[in-house]
Amino acid sequence: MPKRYLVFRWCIYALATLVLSFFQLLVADHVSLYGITPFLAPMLVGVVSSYEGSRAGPIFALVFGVLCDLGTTAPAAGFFTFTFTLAALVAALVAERLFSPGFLCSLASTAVCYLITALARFVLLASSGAVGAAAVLAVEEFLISLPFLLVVFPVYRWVHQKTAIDY
Amino acid sequence: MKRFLTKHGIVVLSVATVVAVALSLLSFFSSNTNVLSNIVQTVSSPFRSAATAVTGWVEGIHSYLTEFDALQEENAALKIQIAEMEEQLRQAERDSEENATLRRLLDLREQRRELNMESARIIQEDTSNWASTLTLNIGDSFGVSVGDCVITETGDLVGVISETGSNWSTCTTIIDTDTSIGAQIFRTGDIGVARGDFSLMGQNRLQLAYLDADASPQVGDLVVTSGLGGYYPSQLVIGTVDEVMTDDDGLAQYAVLTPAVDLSALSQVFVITDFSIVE
Repeated sequence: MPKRYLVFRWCIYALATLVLSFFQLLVADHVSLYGITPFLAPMLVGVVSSYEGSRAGPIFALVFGVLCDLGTTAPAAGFFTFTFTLAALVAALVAERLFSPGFLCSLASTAVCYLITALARFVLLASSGAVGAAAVLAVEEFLISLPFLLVVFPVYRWVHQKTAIDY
Repeated sequence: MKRFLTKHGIVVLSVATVVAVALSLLSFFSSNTNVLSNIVQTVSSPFRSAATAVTGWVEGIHSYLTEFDALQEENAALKIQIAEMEEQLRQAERDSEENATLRRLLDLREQRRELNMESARIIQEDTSNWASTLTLNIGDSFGVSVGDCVITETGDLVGVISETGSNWSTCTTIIDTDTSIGAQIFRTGDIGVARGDFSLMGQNRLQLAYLDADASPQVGDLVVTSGLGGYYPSQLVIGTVDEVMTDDDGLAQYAVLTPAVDLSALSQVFVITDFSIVE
């Protein structure tokens, strides 16, 4: 695959991610059900991994994780970098083995990403004794974020289709 | 699978681990915020300001169209409240004069309360379910430092500064689970710790824990900062008691507080950069 094409492809992915990050900031952050707001970052990692597989997916997750760590309030330094990369790797492996790329595949890898992110949070909270409350919160967050897959999935599918060429 | 992990998975994961460890070390060895984080936050600060301005504008239009009747009712209620408070103010002025006279007669040292404040605008509200933070548009260059209290124009406590950069700072609000502030029930003087709780954060509430066994909090009690230890100024309003509960072990009690400040409606706050209180 030519380098110039790769750069173009990932620039479009970056642009789509930027648009979806603004969507989180301008729309999703203002949606609240029982005090819980959707958190789309693990979903972005999950959907990209389901399309780009276990080679490019984790690299995207690594870069995205670093930016999340530097630009947002992370539970611990480097939390999103490590968690998102691991989540993308596992999600892509699960998706590759069980599904062909599509909505179901993205749904499965998204669920895996939320699960791994939640497990990482539980590890951090283990000493505080708040794991029970955190588990409830993680499930609620996943359920409230899930409908937004109907927004995130078409965006990345469009990017994947428009930039995919056979070699 | 094995071949893949050897070839790619482990490599990417190792890079992620190294980057995560590097970020942790940078964060650990930096006195305030690490350099990379400061650069990203400084560059993204104008964009976040713009996004906040856009949402504020849309919310303003929505409020204008939908809340006119409610505002009229609120205006009428506020006029009555102002009249009552003016009467209380006149009484307070008389009490204050009397207090000064009595202090002179008894040769008591006069109470002093000086708060140095910097005005700040909220450029981003982090509405994540796991943290409650606000990003402010002032930082190191305005003398803001970690641990400074953030209050509203009426003296209600918003939170505490947890990170600072050159032109930004992060305020961890009082409902965040990382927040823990010495508090006092104004009516009884009972001491406790106001702290965030995962199950209460979504409801915009917090907990008043570690109350003495003989404490007697009641619904509606005002809770203020205790000022013990001198870390934070005393008498900043945290909120009011909403519920009084008993711990799972049934031995201790705690109170659930509703903050005095509406965190979702804030746009302007004040950072207490220095204080001096003599009581």
